[in-house]
Amino acid sequence: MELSTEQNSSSDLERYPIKFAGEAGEYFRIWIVNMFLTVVTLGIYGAWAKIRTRRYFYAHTIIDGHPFDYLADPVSILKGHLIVGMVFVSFALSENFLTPTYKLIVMVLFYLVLPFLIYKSICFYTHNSSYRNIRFHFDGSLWESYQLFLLLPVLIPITLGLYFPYWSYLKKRWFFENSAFGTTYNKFTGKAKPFYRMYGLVFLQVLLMVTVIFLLAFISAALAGLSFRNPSQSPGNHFYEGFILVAGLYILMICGFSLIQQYLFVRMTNYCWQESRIGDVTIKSRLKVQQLFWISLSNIAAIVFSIGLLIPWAKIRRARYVLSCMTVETNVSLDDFTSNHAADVTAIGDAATDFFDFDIGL
Amino acid sequence: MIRIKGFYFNGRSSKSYPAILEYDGTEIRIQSDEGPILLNGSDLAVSMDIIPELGNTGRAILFSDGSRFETPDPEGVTLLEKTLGLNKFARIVGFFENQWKMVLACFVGLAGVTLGFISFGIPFIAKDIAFRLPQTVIQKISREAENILDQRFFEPSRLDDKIKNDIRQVFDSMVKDMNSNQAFSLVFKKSRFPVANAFALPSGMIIVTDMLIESLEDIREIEGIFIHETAHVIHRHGIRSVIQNTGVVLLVSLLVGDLASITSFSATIPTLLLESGYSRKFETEADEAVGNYFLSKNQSLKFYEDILIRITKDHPGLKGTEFISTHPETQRRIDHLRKLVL
Repeated sequence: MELSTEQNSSSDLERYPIKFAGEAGEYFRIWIVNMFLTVVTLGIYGAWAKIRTRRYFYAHTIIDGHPFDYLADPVSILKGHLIVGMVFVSFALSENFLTPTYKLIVMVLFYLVLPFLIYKSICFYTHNSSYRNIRFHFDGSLWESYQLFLLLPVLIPITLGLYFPYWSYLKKRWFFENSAFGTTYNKFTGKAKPFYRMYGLVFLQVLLMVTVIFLLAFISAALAGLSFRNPSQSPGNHFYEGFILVAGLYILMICGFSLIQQYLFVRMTNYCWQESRIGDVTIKSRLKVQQLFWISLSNIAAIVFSIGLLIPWAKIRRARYVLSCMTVETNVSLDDFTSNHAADVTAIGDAATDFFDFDIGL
Repeated sequence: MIRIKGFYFNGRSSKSYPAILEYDGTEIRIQSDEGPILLNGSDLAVSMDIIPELGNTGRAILFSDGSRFETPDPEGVTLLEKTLGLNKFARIVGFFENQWKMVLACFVGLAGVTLGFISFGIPFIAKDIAFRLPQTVIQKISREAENILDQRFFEPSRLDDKIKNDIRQVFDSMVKDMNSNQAFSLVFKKSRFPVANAFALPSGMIIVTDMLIESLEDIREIEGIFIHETAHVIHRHGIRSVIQNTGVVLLVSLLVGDLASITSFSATIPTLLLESGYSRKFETEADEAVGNYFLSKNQSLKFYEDILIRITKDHPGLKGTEFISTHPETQRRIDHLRKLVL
């Protein structure tokens, strides 16, 4: 229980559960029209579609009766799309048409530009997110982005992967401690050790999964070998039986990785919010691995079997669960935040990419 | 008079002031504890931005001074929008989104356009580009491909010179017969994996594996294979294939592009389906060239059928996997050829 030093604020903790009002049917309609217009305009409407999608999810995320909003300018996103599109086409064609040296140059250029794109992306995305007419913003620097995404990753292979959890911690810390709601910065008190614990468990899970898959593959290969000895069957059939077996194991592997992915997401999200504090506001995140894993797996199955038509339903379902596990807690009024006009003015407005999806958090 | 109840934010703090927005035809007035805000008629379109409708949510209006008006009453704002003639395009889109019939029309349109791209658009563009490519580029691509193939799959041929000469004679006379502007060359290689097959590079180089030659029971069987492979070169199937596959990836990523990783794995499935579909089409085109050739010479297809069956014997294709395979099922190829010739 926090003891407030302010004379006037109440010592009662107010809880504002985050409400998600999005509906699958409604979003499906928006999604279809988005897709139709995007394809018909050869992708140009895609910028508007992307904003509309994000805005839909934001506008249906409600705290204390007020929704979030996404204020991005579609033209910026369009410029970003065109650039990314051109890069992709040149890379894809270079795969087949150019010498290995060219390919190498293209890849090196890509890695040199990536930290810049990530930085711009975070700035754009946070700056254009607002709640109660106060914009968020991101205060990290381009140089920090280069350190984080170009220089430090070199340490990962050098330490045979031991550095990875620490790098993951640094990334999260960079994002969380440099985020602000108006003039109020987020204080991030997270440490590296919990990340090592999380990734340690993930590593064990991966080992277990790989072992299980290997055992299954071994057993089925042995069984197949027994049937191989049957002279009445031509070798040709076994090629395709083998293919089906490989496909089955692949699906199993996807499920396994999905479970591990959700586990990591749940632990990291819960921990990072636990260690964050925006002024006197904290956010409690109570995601559960079991539930998220089930949602994730059934979403994948639904999408595959509906040939993609259930994608909107899947997205809504996941967002609803994730947000339902979050609660804003504070003993001050949510009216007391101020906007940061200086930051708003200097924020980047030109070509932008928006790499991040909703799962990164609010 | 349009009257909307909502909340006003002054743009400096997160405090929400209960407010009432009124429009009397000339000016907008917002009454709240922050004091009345007035917006003049001439400025209206410029100084305010009504955020378009988005499903069943409240609405918001942004003002150029950074302030904001939010309301849970969408109807009032819609009325305001219409009266001021704002957001025309967004309103049309909104109209589409709100009616299931319109959504169905969009869905049908989407399916139609997508199928159109897949069946006509992408192949058309690929064909156009492939036939415009200058010879220098084609030679370069072929050289690169040959290097990679030699590195990974091929060794020098171990066939007898006599056999090679015999085959080469057949090849040369066929090429002369074709009288085409395209230059062709024949190369023998031994493949590291036991494969009886022939490959065509865009430059006109035809590669045949030792195992293919060894499996011939009659030298005339190689004729059909040569026609098939040279057809791949003449129609620039190799290059068209690469361009089409790039197009497919672009299209699929357009459709699933704004989504998280849970869908990216499922995106590889349609990509694979489409790419093998294109490949089978090209194989059929090459087979048709064989059919036409033998038809024009009044010769039997028998030798071509024999060698086809023989080299595909080891993987005849499990029923149902044709949709992901690069070649049509052998029996289907033979049936199709026979239909042509009849």
